[in-house]
Amino acid sequence: MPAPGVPAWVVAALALGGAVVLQGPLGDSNALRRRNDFRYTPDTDVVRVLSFGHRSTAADTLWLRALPDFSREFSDLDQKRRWLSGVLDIAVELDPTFLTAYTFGATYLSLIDRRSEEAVALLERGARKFDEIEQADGRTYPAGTRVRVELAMAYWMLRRDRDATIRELQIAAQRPDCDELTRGMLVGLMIGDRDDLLALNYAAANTEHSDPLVRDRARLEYERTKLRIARRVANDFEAREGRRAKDLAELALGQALGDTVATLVADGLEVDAEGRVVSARFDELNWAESIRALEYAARIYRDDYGCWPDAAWLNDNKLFVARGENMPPHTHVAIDADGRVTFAPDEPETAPGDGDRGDAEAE
Amino acid sequence: MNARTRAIALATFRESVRDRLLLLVVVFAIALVLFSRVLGWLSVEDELKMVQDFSLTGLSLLGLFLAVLVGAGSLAREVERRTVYTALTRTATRAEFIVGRYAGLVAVFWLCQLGAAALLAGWIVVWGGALHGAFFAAVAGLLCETLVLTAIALFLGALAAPAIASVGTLAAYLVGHGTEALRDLTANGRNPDFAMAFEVLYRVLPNLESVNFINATTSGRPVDWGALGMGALYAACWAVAFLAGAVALFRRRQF
Repeated sequence: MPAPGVPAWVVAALALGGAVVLQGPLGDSNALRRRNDFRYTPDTDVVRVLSFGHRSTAADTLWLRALPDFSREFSDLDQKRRWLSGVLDIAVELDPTFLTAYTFGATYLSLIDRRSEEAVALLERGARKFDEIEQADGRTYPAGTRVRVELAMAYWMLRRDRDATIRELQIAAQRPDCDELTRGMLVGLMIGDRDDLLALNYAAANTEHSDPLVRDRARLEYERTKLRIARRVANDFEAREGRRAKDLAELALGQALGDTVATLVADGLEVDAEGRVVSARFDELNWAESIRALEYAARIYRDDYGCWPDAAWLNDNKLFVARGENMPPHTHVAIDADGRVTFAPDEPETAPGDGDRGDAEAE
Repeated sequence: MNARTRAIALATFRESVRDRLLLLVVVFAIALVLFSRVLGWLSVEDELKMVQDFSLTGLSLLGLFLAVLVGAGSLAREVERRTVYTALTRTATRAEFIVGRYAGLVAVFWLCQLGAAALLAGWIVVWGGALHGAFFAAVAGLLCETLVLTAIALFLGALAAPAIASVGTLAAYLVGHGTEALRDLTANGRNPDFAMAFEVLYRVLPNLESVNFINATTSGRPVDWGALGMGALYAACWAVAFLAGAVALFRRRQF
């Protein structure tokens, strides 16, 4: 209560001023306290009981609570490790289909915390959980495929375990929702192991898919696989003979690959004047894919900036596909007012001095 | 349901709809549904998982709060306002009064939950999600849960003061969702000392997990509609049991 004679607003103003003054040192102290923050990691069983049936929501809550801590500095690193390992453990235990906890958790463990084996173990656990769920439900889930692919990548990048990578990729590639990129990696590894027939089989998986986009991409990967096999044979030939083969007959694909694989691979391939193995079918599909990628990039640009990008942006951006064999020779990327992307033929180059002469004539 | 019960149910429905407390709870649930998108943004991925999980939990809490704040004090309010005398001095029996109150409360609670669920469905679609059977199963399960909680609230309201009835309903919700997890603690020979006690609790207390299909919603797993149907029947059994108990208690009550 204000003392008699002292107006209440004066007391309020003083109290408010005091609070504002105290805020400074309190803020510093809070920051220090947070830095040394103690994180209690509860037991999974306890959280399961205390979630009162809302296990998935409890996992989300714990995840959101821990998310800022992944990038935050802790004075005690061991404490941070215990806390985040505990969170990952509980989150996937409460919700075994929590994909982000597996993928983000594994990325953090391997790239930031440099604990590769824990990252692999987390993904292996995810693969096991999804196996159990899928066996029980009698169907596959896209998240299960994603965990398998992440696990394969972890085996490849963190353990350099080629066999385990191929094993996981083979499991992923047999699933209906496996993407062409993953299948492409598996096929690449198999071609490296000279397992050509199996590689062609995996690459052919969706070449008759009902979705035209999936079908086109699968056919592109199939043609790429044929080309890679043939180019490997061509490289072997060049190493052996000291020159490039003049034509497919000289490459003797049947001798190198066996008749079945050679018949499949040779279909649509030819050797050009420079002795390189090329495929018109592959080029056509590849350029169409480049157009799709460029149009996708253009749409993102329009969403971000409210207008279509100009052709210079699409041509210059090194991130995009418009280079090398991903575009027809002597062309550049053009875009019309509706955002439709095409490959337009390059203008013939003007001879040096032409412009000067024209200017002089004009004068 | 006869005409007198229907009239009491309709009166209860109108009275509850006008209750500001109900409006407040509904606003809370709607705010939680809308706010769940912010939580989705905070997450690295799985944005719609966050939206669905938190919103469906919000709908469950909506049912709980309605039962606790509106249902548990419903009978006491009638007695306090003396409107119960008007009803009972006419031809309505005490059983009809309780059943009518229950039907009216359930109708208004379901209306709130279905409204919030429709908003959530729209919210999910707006953010590019798709509605699967699991979502509808989760909402149906929540409606069943409300059926039981409202009956418990009325039962406890007939037994004790509104504050105690509210706390009791809250406790029933927590216990109802906890017994299954408690029993799981003793699975595979773990904690054998508690096994019998947890098993008894699991059997004799209402198990709201039987109608909880929220956890399966975001994983895309198929819905076991048979289990939902059985869960609904189970919930109806418990609702009838508590309602009958409320009628028995209300009959013995002296005004």
